[in-house]
Amino acid sequence: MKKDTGIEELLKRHKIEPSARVKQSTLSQFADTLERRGRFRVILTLWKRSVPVYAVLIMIIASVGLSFYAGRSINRSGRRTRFELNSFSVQDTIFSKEISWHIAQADLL
Amino acid sequence: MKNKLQDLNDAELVALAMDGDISAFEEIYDRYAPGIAKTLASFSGPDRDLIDDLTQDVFFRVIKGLPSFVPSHPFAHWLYTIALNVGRNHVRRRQRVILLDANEMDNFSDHYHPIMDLSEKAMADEIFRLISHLPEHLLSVVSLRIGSGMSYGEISEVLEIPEGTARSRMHYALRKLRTKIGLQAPKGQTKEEER
Repeated sequence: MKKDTGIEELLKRHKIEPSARVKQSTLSQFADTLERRGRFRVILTLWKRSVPVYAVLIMIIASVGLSFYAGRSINRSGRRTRFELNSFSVQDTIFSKEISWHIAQADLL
Repeated sequence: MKNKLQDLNDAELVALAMDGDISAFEEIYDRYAPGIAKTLASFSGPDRDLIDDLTQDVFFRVIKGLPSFVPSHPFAHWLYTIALNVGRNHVRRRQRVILLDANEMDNFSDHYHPIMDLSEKAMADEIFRLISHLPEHLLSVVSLRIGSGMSYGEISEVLEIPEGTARSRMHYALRKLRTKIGLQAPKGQTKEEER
């Protein structure tokens, strides 16, 4: 049986090169990824730059909405108050009429 | 330009590649592809098409993972960790297929493979085929040692095992290989047979 000439050395000497196809496809994949990342970066930059605009727009819409809601609520409660005041005055009139009627009755007696 | 890139270290090349420099990535590929291919040959055996596919898989993963690479760590360690994962996945896939045929499950110490009459290239190919059937824990050490030429210290860092364990696994794997190919007498053989 032969003596070991060094498996490790033999394997280290042995050259294994991936084919040119692998290099080509790897580089084109890298280029594609860069392109995609580039596109994503543009979208991200645009988004980042336009965030203040969006923020201001959202603030304006929110404040307009809140004002509208508050105005409507105040208007509604005012109407209710007016209605209640009116109903009090009607009741008041009826009551005073009843009192007058009772006084008149008493005078007659 | 190419010469300039060759002078740069890995971290600088990775930084350039991250900034979109294709030639920097090409330099990384040229620098590491042969080592990665050899590492993967340990897992796949000498099938060149398979080695190509696995190497491509490794570099595709590198491209995908490059933004998450931490520059403070050695690039080679990260790269070879990816290669080991690809190799291990390949072995697991292959084992699932081979398990269907129990005869193919090569009990490593069963038979000799007399390969000394082969040319050096054929011999290396045959040894790679034998290595690919080593148990996974031995395979990782052998593949890194042969493919990347890493020191045992570096291998222990990549595999997160003590340096002594890496050494003993390599020693044990080589002994198994020698036994298999008949370079050294297995246990129980007489001295005459050995000569």
